[in-house]
Amino acid sequence: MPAIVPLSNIKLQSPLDLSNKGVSSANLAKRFIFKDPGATSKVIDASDVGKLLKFPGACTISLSNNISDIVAGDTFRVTAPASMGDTGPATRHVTFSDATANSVKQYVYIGANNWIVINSN
Amino acid sequence: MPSLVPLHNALSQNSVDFNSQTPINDRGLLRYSVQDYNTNSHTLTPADFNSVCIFAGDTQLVLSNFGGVTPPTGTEIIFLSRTGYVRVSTLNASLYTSNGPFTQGPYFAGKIIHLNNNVWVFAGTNWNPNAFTVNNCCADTTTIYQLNTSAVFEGAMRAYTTVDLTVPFNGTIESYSDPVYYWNIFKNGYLTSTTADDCATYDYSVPYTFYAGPDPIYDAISFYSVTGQTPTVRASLNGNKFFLSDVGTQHDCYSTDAVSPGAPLNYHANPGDFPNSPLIFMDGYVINIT
Repeated sequence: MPAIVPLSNIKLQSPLDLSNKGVSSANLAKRFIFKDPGATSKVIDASDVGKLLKFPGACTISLSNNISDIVAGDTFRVTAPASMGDTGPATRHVTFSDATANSVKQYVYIGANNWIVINSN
Repeated sequence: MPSLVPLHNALSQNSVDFNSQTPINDRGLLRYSVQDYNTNSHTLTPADFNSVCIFAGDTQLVLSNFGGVTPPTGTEIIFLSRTGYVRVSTLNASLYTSNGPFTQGPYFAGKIIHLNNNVWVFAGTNWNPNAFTVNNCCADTTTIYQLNTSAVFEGAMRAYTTVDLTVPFNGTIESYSDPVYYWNIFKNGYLTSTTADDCATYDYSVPYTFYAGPDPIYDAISFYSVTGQTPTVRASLNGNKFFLSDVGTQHDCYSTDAVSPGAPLNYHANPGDFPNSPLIFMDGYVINIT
């Protein structure tokens, strides 16, 4: 097997064909990036897509209408040790209680300012 | 920093070394695509792998063997309906679940993950088990009572115990209801039974005399119901409803001032009835005539 060829600063011009390919180590490409908003309120923006947002306590997050081009983008958010509410101009179609500390909720943006909830504790 | 090196139409020859790599822009590494079918039936295809499938109305979704295409282990499919439920059935595939699961309603997303060999499992919590529900004309209570054993749901469905609706039937908890009182009965989120008596109203203003023990002659009491009741013909009272006062015109499910709220009580239709053969009232309904 030839040696691995490192490629630096790759920019793909079209989708990379990863069909039937897997990752090759236990240290996988990370699905989400941890992000600490460091506040008790947060307006979700494009920089939060693909993130795991962890809040320190009782918080309110706002699903904004500012990420219209990231269809199927998703974000997790979790709070400890308190509950968290949702608000905002975008439509979040399903609500769940977040009374449990460390409860996690995953949102997926499906376009036209519509969010759905896939998982919730 | 050196300039970015473009790669066109890259095709990896072996597994990609993503060690410690991660997307750095706002878009991230998108996990799903979106398939907006906007229909109420669909057989899942390989195009639905790792997608959010969007439907409209009460939707029947078929999980099949994808025409022989084996999904990679870990493949996810998410589905929801904008305006209804999504119920999953299987054809040459397996889904580890109780029978007939469905999403909880509009925009509740169901998620399944492929294990292997066309065996899928649930992921996500937005599901209901097999369940019966009803539209309640009064938005009041889902507990109703009946004597009539005529089939409302098909016989096989009566075996289910995890139901939203339980009906005390002659003292036995059963899992079916009487559409005379409630209409539009749903099973698994799908409308299965309707009645022409859609949330009809009746005039419960006619007094009838019943008797409580132990000496019924001196314990006469007036209960109010619709016209035409014949308390002395016990069988005719099956499932009929009585109130402690003249409540006027109401839906059948109206409950304020119903006879015997919350607990069964015995009354007699005739002075001198045998003490051990009372009419049993509960929440207004006559639930036992034996």
